[in-house]
Amino acid sequence: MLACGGPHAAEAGSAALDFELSDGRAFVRLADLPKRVTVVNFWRSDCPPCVREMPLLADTARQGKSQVVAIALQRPYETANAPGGVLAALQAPVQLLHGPSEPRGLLARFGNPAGALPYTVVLDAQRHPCARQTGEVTADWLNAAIHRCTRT
Amino acid sequence: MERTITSYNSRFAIGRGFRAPTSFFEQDHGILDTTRIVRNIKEGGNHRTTLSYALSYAEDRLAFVGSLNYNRIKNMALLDSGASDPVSGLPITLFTSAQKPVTVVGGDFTVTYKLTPQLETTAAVEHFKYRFSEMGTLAFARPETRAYLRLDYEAGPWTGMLRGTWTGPMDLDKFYGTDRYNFDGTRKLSKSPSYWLVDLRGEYRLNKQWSTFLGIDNVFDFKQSDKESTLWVDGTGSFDVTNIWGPNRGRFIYGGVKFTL
Repeated sequence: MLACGGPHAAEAGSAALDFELSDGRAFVRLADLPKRVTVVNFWRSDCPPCVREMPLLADTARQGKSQVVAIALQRPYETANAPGGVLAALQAPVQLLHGPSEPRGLLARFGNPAGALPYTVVLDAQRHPCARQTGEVTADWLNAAIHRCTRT
Repeated sequence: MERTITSYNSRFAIGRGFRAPTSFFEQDHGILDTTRIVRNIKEGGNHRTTLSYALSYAEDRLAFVGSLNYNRIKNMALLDSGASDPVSGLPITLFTSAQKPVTVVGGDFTVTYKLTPQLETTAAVEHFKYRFSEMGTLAFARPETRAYLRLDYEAGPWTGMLRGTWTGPMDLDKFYGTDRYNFDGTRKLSKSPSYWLVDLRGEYRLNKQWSTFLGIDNVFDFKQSDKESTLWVDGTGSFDVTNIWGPNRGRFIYGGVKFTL
């Protein structure tokens, strides 16, 4: 569950990814977000590595390196009850969305059919995946992935 | 055996189970019709064979799952209250096994759709066929068809649920036999009527640990006793309260406070 490969160029032939998920007030489509490098992170409150990597993702978003979308695979009230550090990290500019009650299809579409968490996908400006990580991300991996995706 | 292709998941399962029944509720609670119980059960206990197939689809707003199931139970334990002691001729209760297998074949389909970010709806239907040779094998009547409609709402500290359950007619003669009468001599129903039950519940989250809730089960207060009593008497004058096909309890209002660590 916690292994993974490093960043690589946009996968040849891969289709642009999309989703339509709730931010609590409206449905947000990935295709409608600004066209720039996007870090999509899947997480749950009861996943310790998910919680540990939140501050890093928040810093990445605040520094403007990429836009960050955090997709909570749990009910909104579970997110509201998340540890304080998580809630502090999930403020703008991080975009917090909630996944469907059955997230299997969404995870499989983003390259994680096993459903392991945490799971992070970095997309280029055209929404093609160019890096994936199953398990907790590190600053080095994230910076390298964003840099690589920016060049594609 | 399971395969996943992006949004679809296909699963086929085969199972075999064994169960050794030791007693019945009536036996443990001293409410047998007779003063003595004789155990005459087949060695090896219940054998159960199960086959099932499920196909599911899950996307961002829409998900559905359908399944087909086959269950076959050999040597199902049952109580026979109409037996007699071969020596004394006195009535006894026999704790025995069904001579022929019980088969239950069923299918169900459930679809869920997120209408708005706050509102999700679910609709489901299930249908079963029961095959057994000895009366009383399954104790109580079972519905052949059920349907469910549900709305779930969540916004901020509020959550709400509204659920409607439709139960289709049951073949009461099949499960209970035809020798059933009301105390005025009229025959009990051969087939139960269909009916709806509606439940609703609301919850308000005060903070991370405390929440308060209020709910109403069976909002329209439907009870079987409004249509037919559970009491029945047979041709010999013996009676029981087991002619059950609907809810015993009417409208039920509940509320409380919940604390989460």
